Order: sequence, then structure tokens, then C-alpha cells
Amino acid sequence: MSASDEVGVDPGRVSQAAGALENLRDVLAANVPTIMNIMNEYWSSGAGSPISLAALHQAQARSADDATQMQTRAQLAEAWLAQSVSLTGSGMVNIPFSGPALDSADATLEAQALAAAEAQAAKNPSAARAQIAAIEQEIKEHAGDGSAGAPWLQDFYNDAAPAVANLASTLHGLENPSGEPPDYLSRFTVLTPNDQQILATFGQGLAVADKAGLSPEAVQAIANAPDAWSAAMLVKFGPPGSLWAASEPKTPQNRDGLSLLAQLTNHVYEQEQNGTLRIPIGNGIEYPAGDRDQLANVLSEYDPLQVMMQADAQNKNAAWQVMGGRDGNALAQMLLSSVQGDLPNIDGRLVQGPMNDDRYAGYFTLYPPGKSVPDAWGQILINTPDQNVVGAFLDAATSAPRGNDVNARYSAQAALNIILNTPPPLSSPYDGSYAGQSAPVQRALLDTALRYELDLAESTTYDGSGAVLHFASMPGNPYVILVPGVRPGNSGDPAGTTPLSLFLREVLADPASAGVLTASVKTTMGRYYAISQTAGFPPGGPSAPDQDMAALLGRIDTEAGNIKFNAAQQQDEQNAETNSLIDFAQDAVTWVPVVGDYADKAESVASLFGVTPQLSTDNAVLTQQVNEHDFAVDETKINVPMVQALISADAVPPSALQDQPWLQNGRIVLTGSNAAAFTSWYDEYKGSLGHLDEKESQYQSLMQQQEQLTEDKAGGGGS
Amino acid sequence: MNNFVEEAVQAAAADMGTVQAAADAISGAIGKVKPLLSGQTWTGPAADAWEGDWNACYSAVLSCLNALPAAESSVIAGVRRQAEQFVASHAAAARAS
Repeated sequence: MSASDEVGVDPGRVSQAAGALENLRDVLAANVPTIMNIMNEYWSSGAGSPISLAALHQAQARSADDATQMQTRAQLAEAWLAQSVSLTGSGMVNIPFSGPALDSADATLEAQALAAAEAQAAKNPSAARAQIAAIEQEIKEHAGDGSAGAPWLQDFYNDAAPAVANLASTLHGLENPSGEPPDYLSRFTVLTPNDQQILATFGQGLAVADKAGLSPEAVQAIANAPDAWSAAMLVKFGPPGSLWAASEPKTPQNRDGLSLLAQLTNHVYEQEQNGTLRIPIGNGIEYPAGDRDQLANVLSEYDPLQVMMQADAQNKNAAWQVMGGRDGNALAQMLLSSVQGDLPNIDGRLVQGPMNDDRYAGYFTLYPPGKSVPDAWGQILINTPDQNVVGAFLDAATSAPRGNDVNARYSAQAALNIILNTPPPLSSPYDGSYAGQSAPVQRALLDTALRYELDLAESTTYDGSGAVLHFASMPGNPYVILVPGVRPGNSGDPAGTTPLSLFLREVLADPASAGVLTASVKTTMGRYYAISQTAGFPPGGPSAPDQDMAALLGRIDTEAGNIKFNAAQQQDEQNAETNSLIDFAQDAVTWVPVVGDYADKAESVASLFGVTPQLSTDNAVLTQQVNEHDFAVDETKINVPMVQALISADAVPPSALQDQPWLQNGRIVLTGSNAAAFTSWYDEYKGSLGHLDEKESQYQSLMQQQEQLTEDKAGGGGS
Repeated sequence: MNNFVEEAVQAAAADMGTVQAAADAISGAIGKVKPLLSGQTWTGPAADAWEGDWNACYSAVLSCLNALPAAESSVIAGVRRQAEQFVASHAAAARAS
């Protein structure tokens, strides 16, 4: 603030001026429209001589700001006077008078007012409510000003972060004072609709300020708030996760610039692990057994871990920062598997706090799975997070574009954490059916497999431990994951079951996922094959990704053999594969490195990792009936995607394709008699075109090696 | 027919009274602010600049308000003239028929 912005003011007279300007604002609002309406009506009818009333309109327009600013000056002067700051000796105090300095000082005052309101909430709840409501109104006005309002919001949240983080708990306490008798009717109320609205406004303001830039101290105050549940409620009722910042400035304490959302998620998870994560509810209430279901639903709705996962999934960056971060491995285990033999997929047990003075506690603590809970006087509820939220979170975590930046590294680590913690599907001893993950989680696993397909392929011969590193350890190369794919057998596990096999088995346990993954691997193998027969692979990358994909296809065949599908499931699997092959062939023109234009798609090692086709549609549509079963079987042979890729790469002479009925609009279609025609064509050209014969044999051999790998160790009995 | 003219004029006069009351309310509110905007309340160039800007704006407002009584009289006179013309034209029409 420059000295010229400061003005010595008489606090009493400024306060009077503020009151007079507020009165003037109200008088203008009530009377200017009256004057303008009446006079304009007469003048428009031709009566009298019009004069300009523009000055009235202009005065009314500025009167609101005049009043607000003078009120702020009065508050500033009052606060400065109370602190005996800047007394000039003449009864005047120095305050910033206008512009950003005035706004900044106002924001500081509001931050102090919020802290004071929370401090006095227990003693004077009505005054605290009024003060919080007034601040909420200010936030709403500044948030509504767009970018012009951001500086005020930044100043406010930089100063008020600790109080803002604690706001939800304060609001809950205002409605549920600890000294009051239990209120049976509000026993399920955590936050009233009015509280939720207040938190929505504070959350919206925080998101705007976060995107505009908060101080590291403010971020820490919220992300590491003593009451993580309270801080998470700003996210629950605030804007969608996509409107929060994707990262924070890098600091020594936050070297990768993790977002506020990611840091808060880590903190929520860690508070849960410490047994200090509490959801306030039911002040002094003993919940009868009949309340159990509703209580479980309400508590689940206010589960801060679920709240954060949902926002992280919407933000995407936060999802991979968490899943690829310090708690990612443990979190993956909790979400996908069981912790220390506890029930799978739960995020903990909610236990009502201990009694105090014959009074039930007004909170439930979320204890992590795998740990014992203390003796409880009230209810104990098992909490399973919403699988739609978990699926979206896991899916987002691996969705960063492949590359060598920090996002790609976190996302790769997230993928590795997910893969290493995915248990195999459970087999039913009754009917042999398999129970895998929920559908949303299954979809996330499939997407992970598709995004890291070449990595999984390269892992089929990898016998080390799980790792994320630059390909070939060259810093310029993309981050890749290595999943243990080969392991010596032992007496307890003769097949030497690897994390790669277990992950694939879980993906393959769902018929639609099995079909899509198989089709994708075949298509990708065909594409790599086409590249090998045209311009070749870029130096420094995988030397034979087509062969790696053949090995993965063999591993998939082997693991699929361990899943006993019934006839309907087998049909679903095949339909999904056929439909996917068709879909992937149709979008071939968008990826394939046509001769002469190779540089666009496969010029770098990084681009090789992007050749994998991705799903653009829901799994459900992929199991739709394919009319001709024989056609479906023909379509899934590996020579079909190989030829398809050659054609898409313009590597087949047009003369060889002339009048072939199975080639329609550049795509192989094997319905009806086309299958036989294609077979004849293939037999004619496989020896002379693109080493088709030789490569198909090579791929078949690699596939069989994968099958032998496990079958040999299992004594021929499979893994 | 004189009643028609007088009733129209009285209605316009009543509306102009409403306008003038509104104008007086505004003038009064401005009058309560002005004494507080002075060196007794603040000292400093930023305050002086704001005060000058405010005074300029509200000088124009007061000028506008001061011009209103004449405008109101003009409206009333205009209404009277229009009503008298209306009556005269109807009387002529009646005579013609």
C-alpha cells in the first residue's frame, strides 16, 4: 500500500458518513425509479419538455459501492482504533482508503471476524451465526464478480484458512450445543440445509481462491487441518472437483506441487489410519437398533474419504496425485482388497465415541480396516464406500496422458499400485462362478489395462519387483511400469503366480472386459506388426512391441483359461471381442502410420505407448448380440487384425485387394461367405506379403511359450 | 367538459407532487451526507479525490432535482393544453354532426 492510499480518518464521523451513505443508497433506490417512471410517462405522451435525468441514474448506480466502501472504512477505523494502531494524535487513525489496499484490509477484517465468530460460537451462538452469514454474503458477492473478485477472496482465505477449515464443525456445534439435552428429532442431522448452503459458499470461494493462488500456509492450514472431516465438508458442499486447482506452486514442502484436494485426501486417509477422523452426529443420542440403516446411510454420506475421492475423480489430477502418492499403495489395498484379512472393500468401521458423564458421544470415529476398535457404548457400523465413486476415482487415477512429466509419473505409479493390489476373483465352490470387483471398479481396471497395455506386455518376461521408471532409464522417455510377470514356483504355489497374472485374471473375470481387452491386444499387436513392416520402430524404444503383445495375448489366453465361463458368459465374451475388433478397425485411420506419413504417429518412443485403442463406449454395449457365430470366431483370429493393420497402413498393393468381397470401406468384414473368401486370399498372399506367414507363426509360438510358462510350473494343470 | 380538463390537470398535479416528494427525499438524504464529507472526517489526498468525485456527481444530481419543479409545471401545462385540445376537437365534432 502506498502512503498516498492511506488517509487519517475520524472513526466516529466515518461511521456517521457510512450510515448517511447507506440511507442515501436506500432513498435513491426507492425514489429514483418513481421520478423516472412518472416523468417519462408524461414526456412520452407529449406533455411537458423533457430534461435529462441521467444524473439520478448514475448516482443510484454508484450509491451501493459508496455505502459498502464507507462501511468498510468505518469498520477498519474501528478495528484500528480498538488496537490503538496508527493513532495520529488528533483522534484520527490511518487506514487504506481506496482500491486494492482497502479490499485487502477488508478481507483481513472479515477473516478476523470469522475467527472471532467461531471463538464465541459456544457463548453467543446467535451473534456467531449473524457474523458468519454476513461473511458468507461478502464471499458470495466477490465470487460473483468473476476474476475481479479473486484478489479479495485470495486475501480472505490466506488469512482465514484455519477458521474456514473448522467452519463445518463450528456450524454443527451451533446446532448441537454440547450442554443441551439430546434432540431426538435431529439425531440424523449432521449439517442443516442452511449450514450446507453456507459451506457451499465458503467452498466455492475457496475453490476460486485456490485456482487464483493461495499462500502455502493457507493451503497447509486447510490440507492439514486438525479436523480433516470439517475441511472435507468444504469440498463436499463446494463446487465439483473439476473447478478446484489441479496443482499448487512447488515448495520445499510440496516438491511436486500436489493440489489442495490431493493433500487433503492424504490427510483424511492418514487421520483415519490414526483413529482421529470423526463425524459429528447425534449429540448425546443412544441410537436404537431400528435406527441402524438410516444412521449408516447418513454417516456414509458424510464419509470424508468418499467425499474426497469423488472430488479427486472429477479433478483427475488429484486422483493420480493421491493414488500415485505416498498413501497410494495402502489406499489401493484398502479399496481393492482386504487389509490384514479384514472384510474386502470396506474403508473402515464407524464407532460411536465413548460415553462421558452418562451421556453418549456426539460423534462417530472411522477406524481403518484391519485394526481393532475400542469398546463402544453405541453402534458400530461397517462402512463400504460407494463403488461408483471408487471406480471413478481409480479410473481417473490412471488417466493422465502418457509421457515423461510429473503427471505421467504419478499416473503410472497409480496404475502400478492398482495392479499390484488387485486380488484375483473369488471362485464359488457351488457353481464355479467368479465374483470379481463391482462393475465400476471392473471398468477402472480394464481402462488401466488398456492404458498400460504395452507395459503389461513388456512385463510378461519381467522377474523383478514392481517399478515405475523412464523407459530404458532414459529421462527423455515416457514413464513405464514394470509388473512382476515371471516368478519361480514353489510348493505352495507351483505355478509361481505373479501380480501380472492375478491382475489379468481379475480383468478377465468379467466377460465384457475379457472381450475388450483381448480385442485391444490383438488390434495393438496388428498395429505394431504393421509398423514393423513399414517404417520400423523408432530407436531407443521397445525393439519388438509386436512380439511383446503376442506374449501378452498368450498370457491372457492362459489366464482366461483359469476363468470358467458358462456358455452365456462365453458368448458375451466373444461378442464383446468381436464388436471391439470392429470398433477398433473403424477408428484405425485415426492412428495408423500410413506409409510416407509415419512421423505423425510413431516418430517417438512415447508415441509407441499411445498406439493402444481406448474404449469410447460403455462396456454394456459391447456384449450386444453378434448375429453370426461363425463370423465372430473368424473375426477373432490373429491374422485378421494383422491384415487389417497392413491395409490401414496402405502396405497392401491395391491390385491385391481388387474385388475382394471381404474388404468394405477399408475394413475387413467376414460375414457370410466372406470368411471363406478371406481365407483363400490369405493363403494366396501370406507368403509374399509383409511376412504374414512367418510373423503369424512367430506370434503363435510366443503365445504358446506364455502358456507353457505357467502350465509347466503347474505340472500341466494351469495356474 | 371543463371538469374533464380540471380532472386531467389535477391527476397530473398529483403525480408531479409524488415526483417532487421523491426529489425532496433525495435532496434531504444528500443533505445529510454532505456535512460529513469534509476535513473534519478525513485528511489525505485519496479522501480528497473521492470527495471531489462524489461532490461532482451529486452536484449534477442536485442540478437535476432543482430543474424538476419547472419540468413538473411544464408537464401540468402540457396536460392542460392536451385536455383542452381534446375537448375542443370533440365539441367541434359534435357541432358538425
